Amino acid sequence: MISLKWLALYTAILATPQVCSAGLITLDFNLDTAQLVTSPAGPFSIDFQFIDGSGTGDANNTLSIGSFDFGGGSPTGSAALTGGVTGDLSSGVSMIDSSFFNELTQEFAPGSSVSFQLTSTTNVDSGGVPDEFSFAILDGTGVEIPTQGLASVGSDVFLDLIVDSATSPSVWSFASDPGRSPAAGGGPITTGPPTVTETAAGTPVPEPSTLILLGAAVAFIVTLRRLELGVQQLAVRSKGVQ
Amino acid sequence: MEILAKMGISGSALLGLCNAGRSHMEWVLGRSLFSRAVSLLALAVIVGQPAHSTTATLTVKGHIVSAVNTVYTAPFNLGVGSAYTFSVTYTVNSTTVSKMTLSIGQYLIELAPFVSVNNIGAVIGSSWGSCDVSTPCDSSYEFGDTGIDLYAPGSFTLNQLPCQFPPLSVYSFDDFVFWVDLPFGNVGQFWGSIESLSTSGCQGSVTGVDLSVNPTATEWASIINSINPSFVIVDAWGGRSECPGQFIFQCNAPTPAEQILTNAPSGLKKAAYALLNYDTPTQPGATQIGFALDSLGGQYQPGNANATFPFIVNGAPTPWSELACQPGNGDGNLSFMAVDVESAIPGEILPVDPASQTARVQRIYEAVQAVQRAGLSPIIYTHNDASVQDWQTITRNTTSFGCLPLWTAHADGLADLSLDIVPNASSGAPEPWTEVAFGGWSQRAGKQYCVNNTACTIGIGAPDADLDVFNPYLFSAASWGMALDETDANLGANVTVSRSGFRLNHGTNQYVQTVTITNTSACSIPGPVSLALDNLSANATLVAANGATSCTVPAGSSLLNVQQGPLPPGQSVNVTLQFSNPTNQGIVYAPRILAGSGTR
Repeated sequence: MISLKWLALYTAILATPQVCSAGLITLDFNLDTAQLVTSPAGPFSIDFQFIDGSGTGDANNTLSIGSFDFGGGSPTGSAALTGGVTGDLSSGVSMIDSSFFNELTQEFAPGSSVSFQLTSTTNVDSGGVPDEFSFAILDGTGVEIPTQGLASVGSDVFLDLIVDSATSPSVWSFASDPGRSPAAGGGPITTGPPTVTETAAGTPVPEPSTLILLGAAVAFIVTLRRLELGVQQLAVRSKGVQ
Repeated sequence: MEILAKMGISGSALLGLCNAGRSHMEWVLGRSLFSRAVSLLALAVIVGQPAHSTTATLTVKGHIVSAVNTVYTAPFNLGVGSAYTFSVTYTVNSTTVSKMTLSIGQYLIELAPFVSVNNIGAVIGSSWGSCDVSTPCDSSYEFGDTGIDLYAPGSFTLNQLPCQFPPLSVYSFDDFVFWVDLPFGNVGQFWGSIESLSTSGCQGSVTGVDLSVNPTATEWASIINSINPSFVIVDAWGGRSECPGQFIFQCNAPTPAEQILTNAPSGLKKAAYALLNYDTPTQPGATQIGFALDSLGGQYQPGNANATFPFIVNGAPTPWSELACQPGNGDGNLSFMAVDVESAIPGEILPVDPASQTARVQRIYEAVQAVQRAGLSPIIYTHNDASVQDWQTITRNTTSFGCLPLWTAHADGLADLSLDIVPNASSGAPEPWTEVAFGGWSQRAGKQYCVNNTACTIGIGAPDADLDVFNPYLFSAASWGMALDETDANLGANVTVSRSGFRLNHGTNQYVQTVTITNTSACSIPGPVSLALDNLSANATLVAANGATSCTVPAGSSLLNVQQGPLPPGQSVNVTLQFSNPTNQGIVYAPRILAGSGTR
């Protein structure tokens, strides 16, 4: 029985390092949207994308987005959800990369700003392509309003979170592009880069697969303990018969 | 944790096990995108930084506006002696051009001696900044900062061209490219279309000898007196040895390749060939090329990095590890390594079933790639005429190697690349070689016109010396075949490929991804630099691909030309990929980097 106990110990130890390899990143995001209020390019929509780098929908990262504030504006209509996404701009959004393409879009009436808090796990995909979250604003034709992200990351995004490191994922933010007009018309949108701040990081969390492994180890230990107790009780009972 | 605590395992012990013992504060401040100097509450703001550094390569564009000769058919040869005028507008911060190279199709041609450029660099005006030709701008080129617009009406004259080579019917890139090496280290380029060209012109050929024995001084004198060779090609053995029926490692006779190269008269260009065997399962093509390289002096052995001959570059001993920096034409270096495909043992009967032939083709592939990995230019040697059909027998006449130069045997004593004397020909006159073309080749780069001293007398005992005529391009100063036909893995520490995640662009309905290629070696990687996407998911298509791989393995991979010029050491180049993916399924592929002027 002692050797089984050590086996359980080793199992728990083997499970432990992966628990420590995953982390959390929490970002507070604020973008000035005052120009959108009068822009004829609306109605505008918030576009959150979370794309699985592995291509398999490995569901190894989860995002939660909440504390929305539209600076006097408000979300309108209902959210269009694709893949592993739940919620909306009123109640909060949860995204998991259980599909390759995961997206939420929802119209909003712009106010002076859009702000939200985003928390993401940071498990790095194998295979060389990381999971990537991005935030863009779509105009009335469903096309991203131009930003300077196009030149750097190939997309008109205001925020790009690339989960390429468990401890230091890449975070990029971009101003709008004053040189290009929205596809829906009107003049170029001129707004500075959003304010992106990292707030207190959360406790490292295990990957789902690691949770299973750790759970199995704990269950194994509990089972061993119960078996051990059962054998002892049986031995006591046997003594009683004698 | 409670259960673990009951077992005597503390939480701190677990932290130690997973190397997470540093404080939570340290863990947060360790994030690379946030300053380590900023406290947890003085939060960092990241604004619009480029995701990756970009290369300082200067690119300029132009096009030929007219040509003296206006006949254009494809395929064609550029007309020797003809002047082609061009205009180009480009921006540089200096007007001094130290070197230029012309690329036609997929091949690089050094200007000298093939091309002369006239009137390049005439200054028309300055578009911005205060610098001009007499007051050069600052030496650090900054995009959009300072510079001079140069309008350069000029012309280049083709002094000579290789005969029937390079095969201009194959186009992978723009028709022509000029490379401009600027004195401060940047490389400029401009490119465009050749609109009208002459079909006339052919430089000719050079003759030389291929040897499998080490001639005495007297025999060398006889060789020189009889044919005045321009080159010597040595038998680097490989899969077969001179000992009948034995492999190189079984034969006690010393391999003469190193001695031949050592004793060859100075001034001769040098190359080598390696004869493959197909019946030893433990000797894949790469292994046999390793034997061949061994026979050249041991430089292939990692532990023998200080061995020198024949790899003496610019008069200095050059370790094998540095050879990849050198074009295959340095002083004493090898111009090419021929992969010898023939049935060489008398009486040997190779099976002709498709499976055996496919396996042999794979072995040839392995050998070709091993030659390229060694930094040498591969060509194919074989024998396939009316009397011997080695290529047909061994490969089932595969066309998979049609993009490599071909060297064939035809012992008619006629030192002519284009013509052969054919036994029993009705006219009795030499006939064009193309009548017996095979394997996808429409022309040959070399012809072995005297085999085993037959039909020729050069004063060296048969059967160890053959005479050859070659397109001089294979021995020219140009690094025509210096293709790094390498996968990312094969390039090893030379290149890193970093990929971002994906995002769906709603404007184009295409997925985008940024890829950064970094040269981490000490050598400049020759351009053009291309990215191949191996095994791309069937649901996705690379938008604006520059075709697909055909000569490298795996074939059929989508190909994107990242940049035309070389990638200097330590520099990176970014490219944004766009994918059509209408089903929104996963996009998976393996990146492979191809570099150099070789066919992809």
